[in-house]
Amino acid sequence: MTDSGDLIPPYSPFADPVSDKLLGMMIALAMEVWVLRDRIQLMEPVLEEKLSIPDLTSSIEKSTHDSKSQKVREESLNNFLTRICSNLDEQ
Amino acid sequence: MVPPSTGRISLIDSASLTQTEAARLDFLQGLRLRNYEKHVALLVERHGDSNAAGARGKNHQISDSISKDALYKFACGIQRHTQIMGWNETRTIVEQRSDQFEEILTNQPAHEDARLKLNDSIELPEYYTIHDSQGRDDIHLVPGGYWGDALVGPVYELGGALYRTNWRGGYSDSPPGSLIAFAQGAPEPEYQRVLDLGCSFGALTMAYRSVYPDAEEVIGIDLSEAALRWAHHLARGRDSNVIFEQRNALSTGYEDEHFDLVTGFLLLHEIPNDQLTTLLTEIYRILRPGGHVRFLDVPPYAALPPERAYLQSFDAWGNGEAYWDDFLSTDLKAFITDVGFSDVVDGPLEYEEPAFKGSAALMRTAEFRPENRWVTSATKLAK
Repeated sequence: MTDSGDLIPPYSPFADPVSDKLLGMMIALAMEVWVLRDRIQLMEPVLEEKLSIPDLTSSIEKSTHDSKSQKVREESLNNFLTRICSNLDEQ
Repeated sequence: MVPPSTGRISLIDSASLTQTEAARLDFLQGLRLRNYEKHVALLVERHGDSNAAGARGKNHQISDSISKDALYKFACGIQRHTQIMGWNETRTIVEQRSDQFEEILTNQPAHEDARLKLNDSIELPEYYTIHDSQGRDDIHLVPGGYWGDALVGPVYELGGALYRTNWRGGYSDSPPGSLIAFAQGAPEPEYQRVLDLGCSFGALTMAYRSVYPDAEEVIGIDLSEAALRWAHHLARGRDSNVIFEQRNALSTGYEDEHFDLVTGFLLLHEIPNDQLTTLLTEIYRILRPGGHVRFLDVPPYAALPPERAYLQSFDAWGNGEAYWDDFLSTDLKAFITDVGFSDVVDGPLEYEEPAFKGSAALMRTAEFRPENRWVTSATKLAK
């Protein structure tokens, strides 16, 4: 078993490893933003058709969240942040 | 007698992924493709013009200028992060469906199927497991490398398709065109006994079987039990009459002069240079006089223009390829000649596969480049 002090440090293309971490976070963040955009683009026409709601997009823009869903939202946000910051947990 | 088909080849149907899973893979694929087509292409444009026409091999001045280019640093960072994230996403997707693979990966009755021969007592060589013992990145940045994860087969099926920027295409039910072209390029029209070294998931093994349907035996060997189980599963799905055995290419245990043709695909750059002579000596031993050895791998730096040679070197430190730099810097033909082989030749693979952007991650510049697949072959002279 090699002493952990002898382990080869992870590769980074940047002189400052902080830059590499920031890039990783930015990519993770952008990925999650894309997931949401993709989901919304799928949802809106489905809902318009299934629920026969005209101008759904503008209706959603005028809506607010139900306070009962706050706990679910907090958990979801926590998972979101964990995913974005996951590379900070790596060596 | 070929074992009955399982009726399933690709177990990960892209249509079965959730919106979130699919959107994440789409994003990673899109970012990687943009990195190749925009960033890397621009690096080649910026740093390639100063070359003398026809210059080949690494050039310190050009390497230095590329390495200081901020775009290069970001291109490397994007490549590496998307590689890590891609494996993480595919591993999660596969794990959540792992009940589909349990029979294939753990309970397959190998002892009842002569086409999969596992060896419980095989010793994995140190160079193969060094990633864990020294804390290096795992090969291709896949956690567990080829041998440490029972799910490596389906992970590579989906993650490999993502790597090739075609994850929705899934696993093809026929060998890639480049491997068919390579198999067809062997000197003799027929071979009776063919051995594929380091076969991993058996793509080349099955390509040889399709090119030589009447061969007496076509065998693929590998160190990884998990890879061989997946290769066997794929071969059954394709009704490909091939045998997979868990053996070490450096010491195969086969009889002298048993094979007509010994081959390997993307094997040599995964072996340290100090083991190359051992490998080639073993191949020489098991080849019959007049038999051939043929390798398909990545091109040496000496075959590439200076800017592409430097870009090619990224994988050495950016993709967990511990032996990449030494291998691409070495004179493989000299190694082969020293062992006793004759007619040692090398060059780009002759094939047409315009959708294929190259084997090394940062070599991909949205154009078809045949030299990205490099053939080295030799003959064991008849007595």
